[in-house]
Amino acid sequence: MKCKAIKPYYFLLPALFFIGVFLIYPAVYTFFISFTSWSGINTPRWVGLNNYKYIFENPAFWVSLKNTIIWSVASLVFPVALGFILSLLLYSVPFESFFKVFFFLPYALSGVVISIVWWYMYSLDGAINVVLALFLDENKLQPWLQSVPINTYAMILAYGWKMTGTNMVLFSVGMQAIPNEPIEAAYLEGANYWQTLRKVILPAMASTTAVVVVMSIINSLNLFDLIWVMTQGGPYQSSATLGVNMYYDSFLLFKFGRGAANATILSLIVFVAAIFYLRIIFKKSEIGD
Amino acid sequence: MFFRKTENWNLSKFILFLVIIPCVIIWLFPLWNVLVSSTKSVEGSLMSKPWSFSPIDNPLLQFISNIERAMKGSQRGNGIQSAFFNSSLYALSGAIFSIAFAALAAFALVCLPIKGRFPIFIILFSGALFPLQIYLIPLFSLFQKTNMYDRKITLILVYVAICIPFCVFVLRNWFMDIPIEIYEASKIDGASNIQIFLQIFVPLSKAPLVLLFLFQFTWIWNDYIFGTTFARSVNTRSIMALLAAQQNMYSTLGTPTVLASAIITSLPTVFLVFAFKNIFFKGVAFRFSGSSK
Repeated sequence: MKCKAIKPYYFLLPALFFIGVFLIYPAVYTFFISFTSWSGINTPRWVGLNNYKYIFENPAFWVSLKNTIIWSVASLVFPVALGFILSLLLYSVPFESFFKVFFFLPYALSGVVISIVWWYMYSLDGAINVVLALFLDENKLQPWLQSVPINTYAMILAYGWKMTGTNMVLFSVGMQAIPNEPIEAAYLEGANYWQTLRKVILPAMASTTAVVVVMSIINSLNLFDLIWVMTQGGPYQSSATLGVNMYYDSFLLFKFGRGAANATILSLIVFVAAIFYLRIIFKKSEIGD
Repeated sequence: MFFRKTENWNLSKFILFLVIIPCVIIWLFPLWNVLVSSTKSVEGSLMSKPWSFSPIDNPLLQFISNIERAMKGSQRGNGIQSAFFNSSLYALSGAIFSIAFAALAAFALVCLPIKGRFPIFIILFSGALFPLQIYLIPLFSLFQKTNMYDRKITLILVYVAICIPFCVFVLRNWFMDIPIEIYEASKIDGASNIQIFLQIFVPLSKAPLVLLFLFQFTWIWNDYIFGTTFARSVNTRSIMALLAAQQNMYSTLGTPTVLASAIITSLPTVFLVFAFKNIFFKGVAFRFSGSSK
């Protein structure tokens, strides 16, 4: 039969081709470019560690590293914690999936749309300032996205609006999987709400929480479009993260070597987080093949 | 008792409703704000609060005229009309081809005699974990050198590639739950691998295939970084790249037009989430935890 001629490895070829050409080759090549000086037109010129040296001596890098850390920590505190609280609230409410879809709705919106929604909220005569004008002095109002350092936190709020629903769904799925017996037992023994939460619910949620935390860190490290559309990392690169800095160096200044070095540094950080993620999700399964 | 699943209504559930409903309203306020503001003219928005209708505009007519302006743009090249078509093409073809190629690979990784299955799987999966920035520079220069820059086919190829890792991940997990005996029995009956794949594994995998299609369609539709880096002209720009360009020109286009643009570009994905909310919930859990159960 003709079909039998299809060898097992042929099934892998299309996927390997696409991954190889469009993902692995560029990732490796970016690493190489990070040791060169290149504007995209000339041929890359080997400069050793000069790009890294330049980056580490440049205050803009440390600002963006600081912002990246603020983003990772704040998006753990705000969207993850809020997502958890929402999933607790919605745990035994009737029509919970009706409510959930509203909190989840921002997930459907692109980073650009989220940026526009909040850029409008934060504009000088936008909703936030109109509401604040009721309580505050006129001169306390500001263009939130242009004021340092509040603009980073303003963008984190917008990002939290996007991600909270996702975290809520994840926690809900984990919570629904808790068997009923321990909850009933706690009830029969007269445990109150906080005792049940602490002794039954939270321990059962440990692995879900681990995944959400690691994934949330990876996501905020990789975040790009929201910051790029809202502030372009400005004013004066003060709200840039590593990912934004990379794009700025590469596609506005066309300093590909420096951009590649930025991308490499970011990837190394993400790689560390990704190892934790892989260890969690493959813990129970078949690594040994 | 909050954690007990009982059917009957009691006081605590009533209180919960009182807490949750205001939360939902606050949560949806930014959307309401945008929706209302897209029904005003530029003058009308100066005369009213951001969240209330304007006294001088007919909301429906002004909304339609804002949308028309958003579609056509203020000058050639900044209307989103053509981008709607481009992004539909990218999202549909990117989703379909990435799922097809990933399914073939996942089938091979689970059923066929292949050495180094787990390393190959990790190679295929690794693309889902790295920041997208690491792919941009080499692809940008590769596309410029090979005359591929600013072409539809280029973006389709990139989208197919970037969507494959997650599809492999989901489908491999799914295929591993299909008893290997089914494969072995069909093999003894003389079926070829490709027949087993098409006639047994694909029909058994409708649920993850639908899930993946919804996710990848949404991802590609919402992508900004590839659409803006690898395309420049009206014929190729993706919808979100054009929307961001419109936002950049809000002073000429008028903020209400930009907001109307943001609304209509979101309609396809918002519709999908509402229509298939339970599939999306399941898919999110899968993406994060690697388990469908």
